[in-house]
Amino acid sequence: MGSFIRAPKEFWSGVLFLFIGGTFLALSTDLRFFRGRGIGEGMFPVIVAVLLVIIGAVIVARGVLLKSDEEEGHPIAWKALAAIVVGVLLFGILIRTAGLLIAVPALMLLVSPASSKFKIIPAVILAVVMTGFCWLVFIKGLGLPIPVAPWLG
Amino acid sequence: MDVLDNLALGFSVVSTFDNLGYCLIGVLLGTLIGVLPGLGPVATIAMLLPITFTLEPVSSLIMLAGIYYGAQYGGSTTAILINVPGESTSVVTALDGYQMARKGKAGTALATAAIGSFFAGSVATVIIAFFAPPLSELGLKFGAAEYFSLMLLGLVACVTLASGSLIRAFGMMLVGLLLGLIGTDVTSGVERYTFGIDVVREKLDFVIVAMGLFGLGEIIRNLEDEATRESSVKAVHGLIPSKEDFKAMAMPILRGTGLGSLLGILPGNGALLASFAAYSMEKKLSKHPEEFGKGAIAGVAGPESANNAGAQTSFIPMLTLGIPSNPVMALMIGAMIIQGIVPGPAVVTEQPQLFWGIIASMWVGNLMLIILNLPLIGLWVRLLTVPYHMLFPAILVFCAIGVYSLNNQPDEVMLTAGFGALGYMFARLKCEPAPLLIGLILGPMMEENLRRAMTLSHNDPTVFLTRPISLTLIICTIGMLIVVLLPAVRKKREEAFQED
Repeated sequence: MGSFIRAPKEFWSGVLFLFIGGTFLALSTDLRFFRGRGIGEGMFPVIVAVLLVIIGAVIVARGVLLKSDEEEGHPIAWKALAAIVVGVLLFGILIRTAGLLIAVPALMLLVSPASSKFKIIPAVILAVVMTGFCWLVFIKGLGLPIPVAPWLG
Repeated sequence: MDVLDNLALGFSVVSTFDNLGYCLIGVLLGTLIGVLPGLGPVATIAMLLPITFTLEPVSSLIMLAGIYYGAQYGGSTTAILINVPGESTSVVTALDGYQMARKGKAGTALATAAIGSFFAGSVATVIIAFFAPPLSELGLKFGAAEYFSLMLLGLVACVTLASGSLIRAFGMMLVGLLLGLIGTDVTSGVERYTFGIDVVREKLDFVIVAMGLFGLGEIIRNLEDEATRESSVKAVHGLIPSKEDFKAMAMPILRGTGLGSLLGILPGNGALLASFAAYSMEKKLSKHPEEFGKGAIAGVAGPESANNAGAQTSFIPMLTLGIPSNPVMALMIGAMIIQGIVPGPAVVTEQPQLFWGIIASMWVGNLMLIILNLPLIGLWVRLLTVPYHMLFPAILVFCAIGVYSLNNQPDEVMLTAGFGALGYMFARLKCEPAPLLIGLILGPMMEENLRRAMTLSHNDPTVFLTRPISLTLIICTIGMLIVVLLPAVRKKREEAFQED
């Protein structure tokens, strides 16, 4: 840290934009820019992606050249980030195979420890209550076609 | 009177038992979720979208609009009571509203916000009724070239009116455009950027992106600083403002309403700008500017009226031209498309019941808010005291179920997790997600209009400059770009979004 990057937020946003723009450009090589004399499926995205790459480069340059005027924020919430991403991913995996009755408590128990105020017993009670509530509202009430417990056969 | 006839039609649509019920449910659910800290209107609407799918188009839009007002109202409530603005437009409300609450005048602050919002909402409803029909007539004259130019203007406006860094907002808008192009290209049938993933084969669903960026990303962000969150709420009493209070709020409400109605129509997030502008205007006009930031009633009345008026008039470009001016309108357009309605100038003439029903429901929704929410404030206060560590797992469950029930696709839930991580990254880097969402909606529309305009003109790119309306819009766009890049204006813009 502190090296040549003087405005880290600016610098890293630029890098992110460069990466996204570059990825889209790289994936556009097979798309046609023109179709006959008309516009091909590649023209609009390539123009936008090139603009994004230019903007990204400018922002990176600003991140190196500008003085940083950004206050220090909170540290990155790695635990919350990991718990929530994994929790929601797991919900996606479980919802069809294991059903609502498993997926809901699994998500809740996985993400709850992301809070510094986590206590195991209230979290378990909450998970059970929420599972019942979701079943009542989404299945019984709204009649959404969500698998409830496919393992029951 | 045409306008009266139209409004009468609208009210006859809203006043059916079913639609009144959906409006009520929408307003209540919106407030309920809006009051929960850390969820703004975008996440609220995205989360509740699936439950409107099975309704009639007009009922579903009435309910969604109700959710929007409710969520906004809930956002102001949290801003006043616990200094946590539920969304960006109530950031200014928190400045003086929270100070009033600390002085034991929470009831007055809430009542001021409610009265101001209701007045602004009523005026804005009338404005929409007058201005929407001529604007859609103009819209009917629009060809592909005009639409393309209009969208260009809309994109530039949403970038210049976004808070925070201008250049990063520009980048976010471009990212949104690119994400919007993922999927099968309508004209050529070629798959673009899909990686062969099934769920994005047709198109990347905007709800996934909105839920990831505005819902999940925001929750992770909130977990960063749990300790600093104030969870104690004092009891609220004294809801009826005194005579002096009424006197102090009258003019700010009028001025805020005017400013908000005007700025809300602009393509771009006018409501946000309106609340900031109203605050600084009241501070300048006040005989006691030193009271601002310490609990000035005008500092609540002005911005609250402005943001509600702006929120409502922002429906004008959406209803008449099919152009979203803020992320919520982008979601509304998505909801209309799901219901099989093509948003645009034809809606007024082809579906007058829908069009006027929505407009009338705005007033009804605002009325319901003021009648219901003041008595229910005790309930909302109790909700506020639910600690966040119990709340966020439940919110995540609703988000996950909401996304899954869009298309019953587990893959879409997993994709949402990815956008949640991206959303947190954007939040860390202080990149505004609003321009991204607008770009996402406008991307495919722009490309389609660009191609259609070029085909119709036999690939002559000057078509955008030779048609007068299109040329005017292009000049406005360039003018706006030049103005915002002028150093003096840039400084002013930064000042406008300063919190004090």
